[in-house]
Amino acid sequence: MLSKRILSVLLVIVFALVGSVYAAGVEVKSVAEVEVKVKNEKGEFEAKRIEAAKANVGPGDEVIFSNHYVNNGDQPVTDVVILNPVPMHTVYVEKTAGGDFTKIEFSVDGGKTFDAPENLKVKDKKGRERIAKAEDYTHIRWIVTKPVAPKEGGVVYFRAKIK
Amino acid sequence: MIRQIKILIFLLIFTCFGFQKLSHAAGVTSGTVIKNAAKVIYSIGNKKDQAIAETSFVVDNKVIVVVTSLGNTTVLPNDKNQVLLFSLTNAGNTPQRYKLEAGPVFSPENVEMINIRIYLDKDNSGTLTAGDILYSDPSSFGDIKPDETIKLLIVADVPQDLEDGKTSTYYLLATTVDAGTTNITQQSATNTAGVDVVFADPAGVNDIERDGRHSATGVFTVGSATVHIKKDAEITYDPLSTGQIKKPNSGAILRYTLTVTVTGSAVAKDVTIKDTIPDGSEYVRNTLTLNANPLTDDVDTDGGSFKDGAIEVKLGDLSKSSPKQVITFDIKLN
Repeated sequence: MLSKRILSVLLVIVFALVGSVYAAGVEVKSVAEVEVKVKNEKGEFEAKRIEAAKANVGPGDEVIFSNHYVNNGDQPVTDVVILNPVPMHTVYVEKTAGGDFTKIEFSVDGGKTFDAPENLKVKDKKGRERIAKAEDYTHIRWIVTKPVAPKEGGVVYFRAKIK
Repeated sequence: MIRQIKILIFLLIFTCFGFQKLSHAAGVTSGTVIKNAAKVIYSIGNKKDQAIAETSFVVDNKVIVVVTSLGNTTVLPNDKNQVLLFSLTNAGNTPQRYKLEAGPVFSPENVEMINIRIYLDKDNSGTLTAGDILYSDPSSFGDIKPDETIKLLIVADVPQDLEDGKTSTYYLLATTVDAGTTNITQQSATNTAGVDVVFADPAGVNDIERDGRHSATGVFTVGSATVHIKKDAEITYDPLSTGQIKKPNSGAILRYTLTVTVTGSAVAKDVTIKDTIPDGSEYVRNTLTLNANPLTDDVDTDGGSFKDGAIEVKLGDLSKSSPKQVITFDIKLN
């Protein structure tokens, strides 16, 4: 009885290991950081990034979110698109989304449609259409414009302010 | 002059705080988990696949308390329960309590009030009323929610012998206390993954920035007013005189002139002049005037009357800038 249970646990572990080792595709890691000013050895202030979970973060503070992706497979991957909803309780900070070899678009309708900032429109309280502002954005989308070779990757990022 | 400049500086500081307060809406409550989730969609050959990643952190307790003076007060010597009105805003993102202290700002010109107390202005009337709650410790007013503003009163009695124009400046200092307790909130020593306490308050009149405290001052100004009455008498008719010289013989008529002026910085409220006609004389009917305008003898809307052997004129509120008030009336000597 006991040995049966151990066996099943072992099997689960083995499957988990297999799943990790043979992950023939893209892995992604999301990081939240804040920028703090610290004094360096010369006594000058310089910006240093520390993990948001280990920093003092409150309303009004700006958080840098970055998604690091890497192709862990042995074949190039194509049509890479990274989707990131603007986290709840935060507001996207204008012109802070970036990433090499990417085309960046935003959504103001919960991720149904995406477009460049100048084409995004929302309706005000009186029903009049206006160009969307950063705080209207619900999602960010990075379209990676070139294939990602094995063992290669990149990082896409944006900043959001805590409400 | 120096005092005026000081007051101006105070006002400027208050104004700045006012704006600061607006820019610090309480925001997301401490303990809220901010979660970021990213999804990567890609193709390997014709096969589509995706990967997801998440990261999260907890919003810390950003302690911001803002105390603002809502005005100064003119008091009279010996007045009781005079108030300075303040507001206290929890501009942080966590419910808090506050330890409150009120005291005089030390300066040579500053005079002190007596019987200083702090009240919660429960009905927001700006004055001390029956329902207001006396502060005794941080539990007195309970927890103040994020973005909530309460009105506070420094209540004082005015000593008797204070000169007109003297000022008495008092500070109100609020120190942040943990909700539900009487323990003064401490800033977290290290940045943990949990909810840390971060002081983010501005500097007040009597405290520094980021100390979990904030203060403001209000000024009691002693504004007394003194009503001066000058009374002149002139014989306008002497039945026994045929020439220029008139004497107060029986049957003579005297015109009394009362000139009323006010000195001091305060407004004298509801000034009423009453003058009893002396024994051995009688009031000459319909001779009462105020500033050369006749007043009727009846008790009516013109404010002047003759009743129970005395003339009475209601002058209303007068200050040092009011024009002098001149009352005349005639009496006949018996």
